[in-house]
Amino acid sequence: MEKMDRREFLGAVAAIGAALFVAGCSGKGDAGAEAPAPRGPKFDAGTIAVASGKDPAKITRSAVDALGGMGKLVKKGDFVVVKPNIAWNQSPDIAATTNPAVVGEIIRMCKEAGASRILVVDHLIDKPAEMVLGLTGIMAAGEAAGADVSAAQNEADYRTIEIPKGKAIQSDTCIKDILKADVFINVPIAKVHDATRVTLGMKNLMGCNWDRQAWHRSTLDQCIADYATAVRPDLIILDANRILLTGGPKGPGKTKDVGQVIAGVDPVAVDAYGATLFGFKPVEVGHIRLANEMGVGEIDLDKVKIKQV
Amino acid sequence: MTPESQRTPTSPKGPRMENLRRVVQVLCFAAFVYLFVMTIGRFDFNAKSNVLMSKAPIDTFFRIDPLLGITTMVATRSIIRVMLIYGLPIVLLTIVAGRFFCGWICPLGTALDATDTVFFRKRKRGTPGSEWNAEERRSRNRGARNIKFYILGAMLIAALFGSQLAYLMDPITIITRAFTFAAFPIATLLTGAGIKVPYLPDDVQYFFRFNFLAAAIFIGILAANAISRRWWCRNLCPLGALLGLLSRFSIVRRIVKSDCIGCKRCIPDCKMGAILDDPTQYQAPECIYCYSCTPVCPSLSTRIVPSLASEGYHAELDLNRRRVFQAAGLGVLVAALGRTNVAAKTTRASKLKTSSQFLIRPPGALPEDEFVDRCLRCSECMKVCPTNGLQPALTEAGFEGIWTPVLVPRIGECTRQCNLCSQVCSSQAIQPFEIKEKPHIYLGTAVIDRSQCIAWNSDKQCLVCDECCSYRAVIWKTVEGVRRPFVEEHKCVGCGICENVCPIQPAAAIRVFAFGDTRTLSRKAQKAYFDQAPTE
Repeated sequence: MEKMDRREFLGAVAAIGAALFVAGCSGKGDAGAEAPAPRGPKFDAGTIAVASGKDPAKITRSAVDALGGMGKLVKKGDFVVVKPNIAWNQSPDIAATTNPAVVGEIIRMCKEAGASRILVVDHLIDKPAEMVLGLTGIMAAGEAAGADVSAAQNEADYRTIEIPKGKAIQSDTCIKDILKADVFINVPIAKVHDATRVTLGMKNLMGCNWDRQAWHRSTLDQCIADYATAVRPDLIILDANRILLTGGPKGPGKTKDVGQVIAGVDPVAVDAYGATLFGFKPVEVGHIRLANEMGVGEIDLDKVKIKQV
Repeated sequence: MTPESQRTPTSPKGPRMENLRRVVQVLCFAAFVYLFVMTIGRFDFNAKSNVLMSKAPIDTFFRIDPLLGITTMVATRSIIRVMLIYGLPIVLLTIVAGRFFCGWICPLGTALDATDTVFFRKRKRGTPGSEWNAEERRSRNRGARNIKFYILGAMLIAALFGSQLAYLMDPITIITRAFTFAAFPIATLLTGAGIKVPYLPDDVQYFFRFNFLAAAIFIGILAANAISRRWWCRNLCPLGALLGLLSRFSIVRRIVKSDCIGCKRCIPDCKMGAILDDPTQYQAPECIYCYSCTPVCPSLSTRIVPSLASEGYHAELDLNRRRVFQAAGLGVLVAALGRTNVAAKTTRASKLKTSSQFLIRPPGALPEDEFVDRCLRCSECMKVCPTNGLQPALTEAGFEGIWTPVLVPRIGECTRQCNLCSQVCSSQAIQPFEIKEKPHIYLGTAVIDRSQCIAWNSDKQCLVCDECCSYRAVIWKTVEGVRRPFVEEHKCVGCGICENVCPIQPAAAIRVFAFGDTRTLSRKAQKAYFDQAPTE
């Protein structure tokens, strides 16, 4: 064989190197990053706001306003991450995914408060991502309101976090952007869930981690509660405009038009209120009860100030 | 060296045609790559489903390939309209104008020419004059060249006996498979690293079985250029053989005028080694109209022009009759072996292959026998599958089913709002269907292994299969105080999302088996079966 000349050699080395570099980039996160410390209560933790009405966008705004307005939470130049529940390939009328009008209004409120960048992100279950983001209406609503919309579908999008108080899990992963965010807003939809009875705010955080399957192999309710001790949203806005009563979490099933949006800082209190929409007592829902026991928040709605607007 | 004055063109057509040929080659290759890249779905909001990014038919090169057209139509005893409409012009043009397809259009041929330019530029192809290198001389040996005709013969005979074998060696399928199975997944490493690139899937890193094999075949064919230029085209390509046969009476011919000085410069430059020791003579079925011989001719005696001159034109095939019979026998033998391979053994009721319980075909696939004969193994359905779930078969479907698409749910499910695979199938081995028909196109049935399932064996809070089911086919019932999953067979189409998401790893506790596959039934009958499902 002829000798390889320098050009050929360098070309080959560059090609192989580039391929391996790219391959090596995937799936490596910085291990052991701390979960973000909550920025301190901007809103009163003992209050949840329940706004009722027919227009999802309007009641979203009035719920946040009842707490004191988005300007109290979001400062000029902030990076805001909005985490809706859009895991499924379903259109919004099925009520298996967060209402895009709610997400859109949240983005607009953050913009008005001066946020420099708003990212809507979720870990989707159905594939492909583009289709799910399209069908759920989130891509259209998010971009129209001026946010970036993306799906965290690769392991490279996640970082390891510690869960010091965890009983079932002591460490897990979280979407990097959530860890980087100045403000993290959790925007679940209220639905029934075959395995956990209901899926509300804390259950929606399951979409922040990479390996959901591990939670099922462990004890699901405990894992949800554990994770809620480490990943604390700055604000939870629960979409209960239309709730899914059967066939949850993916649907389709029976739905009910409740016409409410619930906003609050206490993950347990918001979920406790959400559970009552389905006729459950909050303590009947395993993960809500466990989270309360671990000190995540208040389960007794009599001790929570509920502002009806 | 010819004096410069004599090189001024009395016939400028030589270099002009050679350059034109290069331009056309580049354009055709670019078109091939463009169509390949555009074989990707994009969500369409109005259709509420995935549509192809490309407006042009992405399977154009398969439609115009007469070898695939003829063998598929003969083997399945059917007319495939798109292949007929697109393939016939190529056949007619070849009869009139010769084997230009190989020199001008074929993307594998262009890849071979490019390989020659890039990697074997310095390789001695022989010096002008009587002595060119021994390898070149050997490769001009008629015996080796005839192999491609014998291969073609075997394929045609096998097609007559109902087996389509062209996929094994058709150049268009070989290069497309190399692109799909080897190149494309490597490109999606960028996706896996979180880098968004237009025209690459933005959330799925692709993995394919047998990517090594697809790459090895392709690289092997390119590397054979070390022996001679276009070694593959000269000796093995069955499409080249077919086009060569068709071109025997072409009216575009190479003419060498009587002022040829006998310098033999054209001989080593001929990509196909078609020029005989006497440079005025050539093997017409081997000529691919690359026009390499015309500009090098110092006396400007060589031209390729419309002509019926028979001087120097050799179209006779020097085939060994015994070999022809052997090839025919081989074709019959392969067809017969296919019929008697264990994969041909089917169950009585629904004609399922007994070779693999996990042989899950894409939705809309024809009944197995017809599917295997029609499938061109072009790999486009596997490229376009948005979940990467469609994978090439190596053993599941037997020898005859090699490279055919199989759904591997653990890699990716058949996602609900998608029918892209049926949109890209040129031979319609995957029949077109509407998204709304998907709930009653049964690929298989999911079965829960209760000994593995953690909701069954250890009372875990797990109903992931039930949660994810797009067809409400997995339901829960309370058993011994615990919610446990069950499969409703009338509703389960075998899409495999449950198997994909099941927390039991690496093999899932709920798996899709082929036994629910009802391709032999009409759509109407499948719908009737669906309607028997108990209402919730």
